[in-house]
Amino acid sequence: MSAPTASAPPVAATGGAGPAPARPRRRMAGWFILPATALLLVFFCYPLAFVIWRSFTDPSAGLGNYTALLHDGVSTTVLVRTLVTGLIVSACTLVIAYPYAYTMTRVGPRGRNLMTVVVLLPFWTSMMARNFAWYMLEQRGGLIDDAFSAVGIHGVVLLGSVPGVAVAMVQVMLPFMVLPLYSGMEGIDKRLLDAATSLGAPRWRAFARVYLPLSLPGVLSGFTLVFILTLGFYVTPALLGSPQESLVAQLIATQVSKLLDFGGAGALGTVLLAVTLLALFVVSRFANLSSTTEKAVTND
Amino acid sequence: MRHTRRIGPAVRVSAAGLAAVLAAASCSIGNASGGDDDGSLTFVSTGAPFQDYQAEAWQKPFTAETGIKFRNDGPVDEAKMKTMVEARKVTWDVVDTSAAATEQYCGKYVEKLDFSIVDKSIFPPGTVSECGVPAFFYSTIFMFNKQKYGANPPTKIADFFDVKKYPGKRIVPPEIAVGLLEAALLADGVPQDKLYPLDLDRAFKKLDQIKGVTTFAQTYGQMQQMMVDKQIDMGLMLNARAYQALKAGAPFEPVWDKTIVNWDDLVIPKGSKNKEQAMKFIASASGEKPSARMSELASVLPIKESIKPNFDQYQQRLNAYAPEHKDSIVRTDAAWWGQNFDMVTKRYTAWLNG
Repeated sequence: MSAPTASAPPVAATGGAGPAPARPRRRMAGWFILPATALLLVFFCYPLAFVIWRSFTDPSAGLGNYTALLHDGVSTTVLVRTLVTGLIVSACTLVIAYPYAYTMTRVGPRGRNLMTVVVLLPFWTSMMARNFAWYMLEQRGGLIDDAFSAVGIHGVVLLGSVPGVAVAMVQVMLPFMVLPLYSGMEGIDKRLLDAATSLGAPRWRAFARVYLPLSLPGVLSGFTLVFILTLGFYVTPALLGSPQESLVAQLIATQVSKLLDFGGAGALGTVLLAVTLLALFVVSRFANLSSTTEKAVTND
Repeated sequence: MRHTRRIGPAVRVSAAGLAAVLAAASCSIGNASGGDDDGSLTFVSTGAPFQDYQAEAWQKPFTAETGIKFRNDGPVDEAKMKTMVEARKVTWDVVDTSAAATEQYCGKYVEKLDFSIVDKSIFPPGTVSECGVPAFFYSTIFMFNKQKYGANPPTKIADFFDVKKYPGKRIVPPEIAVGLLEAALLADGVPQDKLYPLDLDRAFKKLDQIKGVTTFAQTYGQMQQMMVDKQIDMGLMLNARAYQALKAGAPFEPVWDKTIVNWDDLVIPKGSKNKEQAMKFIASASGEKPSARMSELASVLPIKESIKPNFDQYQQRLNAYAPEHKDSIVRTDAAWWGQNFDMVTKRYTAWLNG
């Protein structure tokens, strides 16, 4: 379709200029992505196009579904709430994951293996089991409520609130933050820090001026990944949240399953997708920036 | 130019592959309705254990009588039904749905009934629509934790909305159409016979009073669980869920001031290939025996008050059809809900998130 044509010129340029023996291998590579492409076309691109088309045509052609989003008194509130929650979750995940990933680069291979397993452990646990565990912890008289009551703060029931959802999401999202951070940090030459200290920088400044900028690409990719996953999260808000503080996925579910408003739900989904793409675009601009910083620092 | 030659065959092959996948997909969708071949009916409900009770009470006798077998599917998803009808690939034959949904989708996604097959005269007045007859009734009962309110228990539906006199956590059902607005208006003094059309402004104003202390349940399972775990102090409970909670030892008592009674219909998705058999099944399920059996198994109410199921002690405590509770019954207006469901749902969602 349009994708191969769009990417064609560079392929042609390298293909034309490249030596002849490289060709057969490339041809093979083209074949290898066929199953994935077919799968994406049938089960992602086509339904997605259908959803977007429907958001402009159902029940009547035009922007009706989109103007309705602005005026129904819910969608904008919920969208903003979802974005804010996504930012908070990503930030909290980052704060927890950064030192963890840093430590992973500092310990021996055995320690690193252990830490990787610990991070991946939630992946091997059923999503539902994890969410229900949080349900038990967060409910009235649950562990969290009891712990706060013991120190004299009563009524800390996180269940059914955005903070309750956010806490659980942070836990679910940790691997998505730790792994990109780690792979970014692993590539940082530790001798740069030694160099900085030997030139008289205190440890914190060596970290802030040398290490932190070098780790930014990992931070950005982890942050983006978590933020985008959070935007579309359904299971955790549906179980631990409440209809009063619903996130966008819950609202879409209501529109589809209760109102059978496929057009309206499609419009909301399209807006969410647009916001996500926008976030990706902004981040990619920053990523370019940070990789230039990286170059600058390494060249120093 | 070379790249076009190289990409050309790949595109062609992928297009062929795409076509093959699509063809296979459409074949399999087509075949899904191939259940017609053996003449069996696909019955769709909310899943175990409720659907097992329906199989036991309704499907078994029908199969014994006619030889027609059932395939059970679930959950009930009106969005899926809409998609099936629009795509003209209807694989469901009988669907358990709310009476309001029947009214709302009658003729659109749901077949009209042939009343020469289904006898509509046996049902309570005002409960029959062109597309559905009641399959069972259920009640939304105001219940409270007797340990919490001990010597000064609530006695009226108004007490549910009185947070000063009766402080405590409330819970209300995940569906708006099962009685929350009716309860609010009755509590606010609207006479029972003047309930419809619902005065939404007044109802939401009343609901504002409890919004801060109320859990708006996401599922009925959650309501049951919160009752058992004493996470809430009072609630508008559906009787089947309240029954399970009472049996599990939840210390709750019903208040028999006003009880909202709703019902489900069995409907036939438009374009079902087994329309006739499906209607015969609906007629059979509304027999006295199947209805009584269903009520006993699932702790719901029979299709008419003259049917006396053999209720156990917990079911008896929640039986809105018991003679002493008869005056408390407020039947919802399914036709009004059918017309206004979307509008009310939108407003409710906005109110919740406001």
